[in-house]
Parts: sequence; structure tokens; C-alpha cells
Amino acid sequence: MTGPDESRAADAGRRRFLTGAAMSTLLLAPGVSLITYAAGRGATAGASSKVRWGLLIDTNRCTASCTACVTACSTTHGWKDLGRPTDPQWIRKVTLSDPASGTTRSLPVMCQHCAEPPCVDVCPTGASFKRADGIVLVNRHTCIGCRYCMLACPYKARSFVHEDITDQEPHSPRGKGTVESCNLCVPRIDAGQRPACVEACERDGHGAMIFGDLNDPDSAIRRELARYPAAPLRADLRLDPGVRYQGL
Amino acid sequence: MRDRLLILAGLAVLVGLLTWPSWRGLSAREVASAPTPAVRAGLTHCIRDTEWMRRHHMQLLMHTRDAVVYDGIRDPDETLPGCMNCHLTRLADGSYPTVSSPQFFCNSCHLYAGVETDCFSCHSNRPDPAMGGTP
Repeated sequence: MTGPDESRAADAGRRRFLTGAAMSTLLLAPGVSLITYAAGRGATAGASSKVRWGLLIDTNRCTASCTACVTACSTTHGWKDLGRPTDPQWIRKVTLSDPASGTTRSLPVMCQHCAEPPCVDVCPTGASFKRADGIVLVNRHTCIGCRYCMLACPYKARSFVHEDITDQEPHSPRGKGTVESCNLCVPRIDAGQRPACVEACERDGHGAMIFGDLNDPDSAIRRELARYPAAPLRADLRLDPGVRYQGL
Repeated sequence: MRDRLLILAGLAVLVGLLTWPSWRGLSAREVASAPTPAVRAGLTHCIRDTEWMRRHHMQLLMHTRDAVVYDGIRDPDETLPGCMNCHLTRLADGSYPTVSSPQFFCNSCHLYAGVETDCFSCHSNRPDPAMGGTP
């Protein structure tokens, strides 16, 4: 129990302290100038969770000899696969064959942009993350290069950069000691364009790749999905990939 | 207390030594000022006030970086290639300076301040034609 006098004395002390604190804040304030960031005249709205970007690949249209998507990705992002086991591959052509029937299929495989990405689950720094619109990315500012995500990915979609890189593409920063993978051409998507591989496939007359919003029932990708069945790779893992394949 | 004079003299020498940099600074003829980064001819405005940029450009870079990487919020006026478009100047032989060169515009201050950056181990140090830069 404190007497009224005692508590009044404590109040006065507290008041002095608070006044002092306020004064020192006022004195400090001009030096600490808070930064106000202008929203920017032309800043884009950013990724929206209403959108889920996806790819639909028609393996009936994809030909074994064509590597237009791989070449387009390589030139857009500046990675080179010289055939060494450690060279990066953001996208690769994979040939599947059924020994029973002899059917073969050639298809591009890249980051499948899972809704439940295992690479994000295992990342110790949070560098591997899923954007609001479903694109799975590596924030290479926080990536420590531990490569857990590479082990966790069932699609072998990620690569580690082993060597110093120079002359990167201005829109695709890449550097030694970090993990990288298909980013679905995120700068292009943010600018309202389609991924480079999809455009290259169309340019070569195959039209085997459709890019679009899986959440929009009127989008080309959803209309095509409604017409013919499509399945993700390794559907048994229930990762809900954003990339689907027809004709497998 | 026979040593009083000795102690005081010793103290004076100590204080003198400790404050030596200040005396040297005061006696210098010219006041040293931080160098300014290179900029292409004919350009006068940065995306922010010069004094603000000098103090806070790293916060702007970090803020923009996180907004772009995590949220996809891109301001075409505030990009790293945009910095190159204005600040990267050619050397006498017409080539662009390397990242480690003292002529590289970041280095003009960063070498002076002794602050090392590793932005360009990943990022391109060339102007981006897509952002209106001259290659």
C-alpha cells in the first residue's frame, strides 16, 4: 500500500520523466527525419491473391525436336546450359516413354509453381516463397545457398549457381551462391506480358503452351482445361502445381 | 605529490593525442567534402532531392527491392537499371567502367566512405534499353 503523498510524489516523478522524454524526442526528431516514400507516379498494383497464374502444356503439340521454349528462357534470363552437371536449367525438355505401348512424349518441365510448395516449407531463411498470385520465387537477397529447396523439389526444378556470373540481363539478376529457378518471367507478367517460353512456342507455330489465370473461368487456360482433361506431374504428391499437362 | 607536474604533463599529452584528429581537421586549409557520383551530361534531376539521396538512397533501394520481390509492386521510375541509365558514364575509350573501377559511379562515394556493396555480383551494371537507357 502506498500513501496518497507517496503516490503523488511518484506521479510527479513520472511526469518529469515523461516530459523529459517528450522533450528529448522533439530534440531528436529533426535529425531522425522519418522517410516518407512517395507511392510513385507509375507504380504497378502488385501481385493479387485473386489471381493464380498457371501454365497448360499440351504434350500432343510439343514436338521432340523443338527446344524453342528452352532457348527463349535461356536468352531472356541469361543462363547457359553447357552440358556440365552443375549448369543451371530453368526449363528442360524431358522425354517420357511407356515401355508397354511404345508411346513417347516430349514435354518441357520447369518450376511447377505449386500451391503447396515443398521448397518453401524447407527454406530456413524464408528466401523461397510464394507470391500472392501463386508464383514461387527465390528471394536471392536472403538465400544462403543451402540448397534444401533443391532437395525438397520433386521436379528437380531448381539450380544452384556455382560460379561467378558477369553480364547479367538487367531484368534477371543472378549470382553465385544462390538458388534459382523458373520465375514464370515475373517482370514480364507484372508488365502485362506472357512468359518468354509461351511466346516462343507460339512463334514457332506449336502453340503447345497456354499461360493464364487459373482463377478466372473466362481465361483461355480455364476454357481449355474445361474442354480436355489435364493433369499435373506427380499428382499423387498433392502439391497442386500451377503447371498442368494434357495428353500424358 | 612531488610528481604532480609530471602527471599533469602526461595527462596533457594524452588529451592532446586523443583529440589529435580534431586539431588536424581544424587546422586543415580546405574542408573535405564527400565526392559526388558521376552523372550523364545534361541531367539535373534525380528521382529524389540530392541531399536526401546522399543520406537515404540505401533505404530507397531496400524498400523498392522488397516491394518488387515480394509484392510485385514495380515503379518504372525507381529501378536499379534506372540508376544506371542516368549515372553510368562512359570512360575515355567509350567503354563502361567495371564494378570495381573507381570511375563506377557508386564507387566515387563508396570508396571514400569505405562502404562495400555486393549489389552487382548479381545485378547488371549496364543501362537497360527496355528502361529507356542507351546500351
